[in-house]
Amino acid sequence: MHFLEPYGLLGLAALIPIVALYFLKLRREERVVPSTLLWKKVIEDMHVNAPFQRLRYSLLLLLQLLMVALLGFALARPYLAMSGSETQRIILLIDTSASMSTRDAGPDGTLTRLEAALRDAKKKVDDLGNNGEMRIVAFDEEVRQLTRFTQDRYTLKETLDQLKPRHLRTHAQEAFETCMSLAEERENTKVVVLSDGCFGKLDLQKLLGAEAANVNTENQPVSKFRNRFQFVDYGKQDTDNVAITGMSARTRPVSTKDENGNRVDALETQVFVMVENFSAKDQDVILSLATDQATFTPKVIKLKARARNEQGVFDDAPTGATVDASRSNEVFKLPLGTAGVVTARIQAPKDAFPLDDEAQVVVGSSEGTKILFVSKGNYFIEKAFLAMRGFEVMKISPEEFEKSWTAKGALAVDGYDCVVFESCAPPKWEDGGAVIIGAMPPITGFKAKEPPKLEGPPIISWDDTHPVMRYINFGNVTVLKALAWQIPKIATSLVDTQSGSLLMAYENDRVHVVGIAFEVFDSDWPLRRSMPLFLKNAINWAAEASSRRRPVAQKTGEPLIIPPIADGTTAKLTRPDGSTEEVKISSEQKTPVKEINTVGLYMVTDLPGGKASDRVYAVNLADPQESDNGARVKIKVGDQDLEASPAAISAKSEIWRWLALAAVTLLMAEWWVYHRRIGL
Amino acid sequence: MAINAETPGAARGGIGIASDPKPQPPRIEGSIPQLLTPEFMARLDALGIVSKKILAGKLRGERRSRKKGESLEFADFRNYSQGDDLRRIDWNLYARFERLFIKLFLAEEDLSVYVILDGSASMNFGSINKFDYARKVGAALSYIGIANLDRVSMGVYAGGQEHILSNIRGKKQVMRLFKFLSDIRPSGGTDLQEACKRFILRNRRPGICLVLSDFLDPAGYEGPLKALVANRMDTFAVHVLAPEEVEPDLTGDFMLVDSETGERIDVTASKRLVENYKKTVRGFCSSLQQFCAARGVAYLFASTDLPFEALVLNYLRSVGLVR
Repeated sequence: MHFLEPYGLLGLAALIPIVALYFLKLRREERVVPSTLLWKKVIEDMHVNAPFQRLRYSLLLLLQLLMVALLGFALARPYLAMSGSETQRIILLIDTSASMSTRDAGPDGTLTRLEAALRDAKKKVDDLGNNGEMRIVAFDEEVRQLTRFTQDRYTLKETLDQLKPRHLRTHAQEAFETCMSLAEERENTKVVVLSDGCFGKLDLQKLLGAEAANVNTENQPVSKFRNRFQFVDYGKQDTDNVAITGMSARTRPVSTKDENGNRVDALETQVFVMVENFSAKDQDVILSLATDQATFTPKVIKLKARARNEQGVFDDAPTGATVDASRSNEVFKLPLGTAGVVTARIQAPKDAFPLDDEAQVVVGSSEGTKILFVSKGNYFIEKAFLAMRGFEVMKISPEEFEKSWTAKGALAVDGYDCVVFESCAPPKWEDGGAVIIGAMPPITGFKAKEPPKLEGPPIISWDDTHPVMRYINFGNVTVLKALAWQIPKIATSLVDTQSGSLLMAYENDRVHVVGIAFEVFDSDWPLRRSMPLFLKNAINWAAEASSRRRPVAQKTGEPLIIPPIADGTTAKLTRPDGSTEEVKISSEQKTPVKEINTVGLYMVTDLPGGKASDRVYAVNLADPQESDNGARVKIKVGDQDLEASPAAISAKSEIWRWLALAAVTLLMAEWWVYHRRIGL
Repeated sequence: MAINAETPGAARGGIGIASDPKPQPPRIEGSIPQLLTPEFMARLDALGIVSKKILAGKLRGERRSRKKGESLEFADFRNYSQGDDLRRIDWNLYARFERLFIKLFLAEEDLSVYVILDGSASMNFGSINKFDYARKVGAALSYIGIANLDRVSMGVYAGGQEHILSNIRGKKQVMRLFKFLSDIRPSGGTDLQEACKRFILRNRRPGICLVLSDFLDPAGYEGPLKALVANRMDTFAVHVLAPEEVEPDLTGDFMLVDSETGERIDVTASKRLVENYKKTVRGFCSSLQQFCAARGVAYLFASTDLPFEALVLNYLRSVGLVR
């Protein structure tokens, strides 16, 4: 038997005052007797005056001494040495990523992997030697050093208690590199990795840094790594999981008929759901889709198995177990007019990892397209607008727009799906759709060429595959003069001339801009049928970027972006767990909200404009790496494997609890004996 | 309550004597505590103290003496010598032997009864107080003595003080006796040696000596008893103990306080300890008894739960102190 706190044995010194108190017997009842002559004789006869003779007959004292002795030993924290390391400095590297929420750990599989890891971590804290130090580092998408090296078990345990699972993907490389550098600060430091190993292969070269040069010629650095790290795995290798690994939605204009049978333009929303099978057996998956208003008929999807090894599921061509066969991209067409939160849910089979069984997307408004037309006046364009059904056009002059922009900034165009600028352009454009005619788009990468004007540029070709150019014949359009611009690489040139692009489409995740390098009056385009068609295509395409309409779904870890609001305000953010916080929203720039670590819906409320202006953000896991959550028994580090060593975590078995229990039992026995006054 | 100093007989001009056919007990009235009830005293009148030895008395009494005297009981003859009382010449012998012989009769003298009462604090104990008990026994025996015209002396030793009542004789002294006993409060330590020494110095005449005590003297009881025997006292040791002393009801942890010295000792009264204590008490009584037997001292154990009337009327009679 060994002791973690040998100084605890000083508690045995408490035996001395007990014996002293026993002799003092401060609480004896006084009893007057005629003479103590005979009593003294009796005592002498019994030799009870001798101290140890007295002790021999006191059961109470014996019980008290035993009790204190047990407590003294318990204070010294005796333990039975098991197989384990005697490392004095330990870094606990705890995986808090999404896959650690899988409920398949513990003796009977009822704990999540993180709960089991934290339980073992607390044991490890308890087992920490008298001179030992420990540091806790958590990792998922980011590395968090939660404590310094400390001997304070209370701090360590409190930190572990506060550690919650985060629905984030795993970036293990950075965590291992951080711990490697921390461990190299001093000798005799060991990194204990508590994880399910659901992350990719680690780069040994980066881990070992300068020593990596010797990796291939000498095994010493590798063995150094192996000595430094100890991997404790959690979860079951054969955990079956079926996951939604992606969900998105797209709104596109379609032609349909209204109640009266008239042809109208409308917006149709399509929802795309990627379902994957991460198990080694075929699965029949029931996938349902629901909105706030309706539930759609579930789909039954047959997904093939994928082969599994210690690195998770993988392609196994000979048996046909391929990635493609094990996943399916399902498309749902939502009824016209559908808006709000759309939820996809795997109803069966149920698995131990519910985080990826559900995904959501927020589908924007599919009402008629609202257009702001900034122009001094253009008969042809206005006529074209009138011919388009389902468009609601608001016209203002460039001066009015400038005033409004100066006053409100980007909020000047808030509420419009597309803004058509003629012979003018906004100072900047970072969100939404725009069609800019005869002006330089305010987008990074656009440059004016020398000379700035093209005179009668001959049209070489046009891209009729782009949605904007659908049904467009640009061959009969003659342009008198145009701006000479150089478009950025990510922009698509729709119409090319010998001197450069004449029409272009630029898009990113939040912006759709169509640029026309010439004034419509500098061409014969208004006389062609292609112009209203082009305008309709361009507006529909640009409006896809409208924040009003854009389906919103993002992954955990990505910040929520709240657009600026005039005069700024404070809004209330409600997280999926129901907790709320105040968010100060800027009036000038977008406000990012970080710590988006949980899957679910985030609501931003209390915005000016009432309930109609509330924003909902759907946050999904959507990460195949986390969904492929079969526990790994090895961590791949370069060409090396770091095997799991589950037994090493409980190197010492403490027995103080049993001693304390025995002491309490003795206390009760002593109390009973005291009241019975027997056998004294 | 008071006891009339004079018995009815005494009021008529004489103290009660053995020849008095119906001795009357003293009437009890006034403020003197009643130690003995009239009925009990009436029963005591029929008793007398018996001495195993023929002891010389001081005054004429009702006890046969070694001396030749003037009783009716014939003792011997002796030759007439000049000056002898002619009335004692046995003329019948003169007729036969023609010599003058004087008839000698046994003398009848009084008996000295000494009562030594332990008045130490240790006697002030017990549900039936040991001192009360002892003084009642002392009073009863003294009453028997004075009723039989014996000379009774009493010494009570309390708190280092000596309370002496000397040479009372005759029933009219009974009130003195009762008042004397009633005024004493037990206190102080036990010193039998000193008490006996003083008592012997004061009372050199042999007699019956009754020692009423618990004999819990740290200096021991042997010396005092030896001294009494050595002074030709016909000694009776009445060992008075309370039942609480003999069979203590103690369980637990106690601090025992000595009533005489204030000495404190810690005792964890286990069953075993109490048993040992009882054994020790029995051993103490037994050794006292053996000591007494070896020296011709009559020993009588008197537990206070024994009614004192029974003690006097039965037990004292059984040991031959009274008859």
